[in-house]
Amino acid sequence: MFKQLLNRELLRYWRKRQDLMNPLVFFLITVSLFPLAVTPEGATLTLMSGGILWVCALLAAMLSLESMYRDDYLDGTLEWLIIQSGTPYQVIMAKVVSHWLTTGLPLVVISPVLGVMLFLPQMAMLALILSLLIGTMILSLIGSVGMGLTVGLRQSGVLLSMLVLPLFIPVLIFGASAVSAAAMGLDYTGQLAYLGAYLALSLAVVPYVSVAAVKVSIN
Amino acid sequence: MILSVNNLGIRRSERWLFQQLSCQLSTHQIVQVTGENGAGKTSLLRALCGLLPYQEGTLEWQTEDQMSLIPTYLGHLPAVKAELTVLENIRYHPINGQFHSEQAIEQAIVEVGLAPHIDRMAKHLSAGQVRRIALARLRLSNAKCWILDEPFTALDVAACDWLCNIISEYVRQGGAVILTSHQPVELDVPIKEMPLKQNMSDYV
Repeated sequence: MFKQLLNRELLRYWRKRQDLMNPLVFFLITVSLFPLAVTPEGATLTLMSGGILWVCALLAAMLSLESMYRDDYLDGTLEWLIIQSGTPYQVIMAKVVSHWLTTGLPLVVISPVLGVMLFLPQMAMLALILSLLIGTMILSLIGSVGMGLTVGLRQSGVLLSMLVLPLFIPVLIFGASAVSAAAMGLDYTGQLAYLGAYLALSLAVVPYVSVAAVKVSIN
Repeated sequence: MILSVNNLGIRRSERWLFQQLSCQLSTHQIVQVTGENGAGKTSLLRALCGLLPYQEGTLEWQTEDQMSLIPTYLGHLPAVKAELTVLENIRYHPINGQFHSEQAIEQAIVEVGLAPHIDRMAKHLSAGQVRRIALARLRLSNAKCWILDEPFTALDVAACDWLCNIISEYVRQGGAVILTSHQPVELDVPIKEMPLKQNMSDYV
């Protein structure tokens, strides 16, 4: 069941693959504007690179949350899947996993390139990749709750950010601090452990909350 | 008996659509819910599917096996994805808890007359053809109950006849159907009518 549902989601994203470019292009553009606006000087950028990359990745991933439920809600397939699958949790998890595979993972993959552009030290690259890997998973999970609650509304953009951002602030703090700690040559396993714990917590709680949120929206 | 409804009441934003609705549905039975626009027909059907919370009364499905308990619901929205083909629209959407074999799916598509369009994306089909995809799903369903909200909208005469036939066949084989329709429904099985009114206590 889960495999079929996941195939469905991936096929749906593949057919609208031009939309998948949006978060990536957004990430690329915002990051490349910083050297132009602040300073192209290496020392300053090195200091800020972790924070810039994290904030831009977060905003890029949030930009793509709409695609998780919106289309399915509008054409009635969301309610069909929720009733007819018999396991709404698997429906939601297939959506979360496919959203991460199509937006979170590509962001992680291009982040080292943008890191080089911002003079991020070599030794912080691994920390950037690992922290973004966990962080984007958490965003897809938490985003599914926010999106589930707002999918029935016509203009959900600002409300969605207000619901999701507070929950995502700890991730931003620990993620960016893991990168800057690594850039200074310090140990960053503590920050990663906090991110991992947050991921485990969201994995345990989000499916239930998300199903409840979607059910509120489709009635 | 597969469904029993006792004193059901549904309120939508401070207004009671109906109260004190009681009815029973057993196998081999077909019930047509009637009422003017806004009487609460769709709300009742969605409440039966578990899509809409109700404010009063009880609603119980009674079958032994959990999966056939999920009614197949055909609503106002056809639940068809525009960017998937006809075949994919059925292949990737579970029908009461299961996915069907390619062979069964293709046969259902042939039956609803979409065989020439099987690999065409749904966005290139007409409204009636999109409804036919939903009908192909209905054909594959082995639920104990079908809940059909205006199933005849956008269908041509041939498709209407075909739908009437499969509904009659399904009811004869032990299915139960609840439907709403503004068009006259002609089936060769007796239809029980259930008019919806604001207070249902005077209706038995």
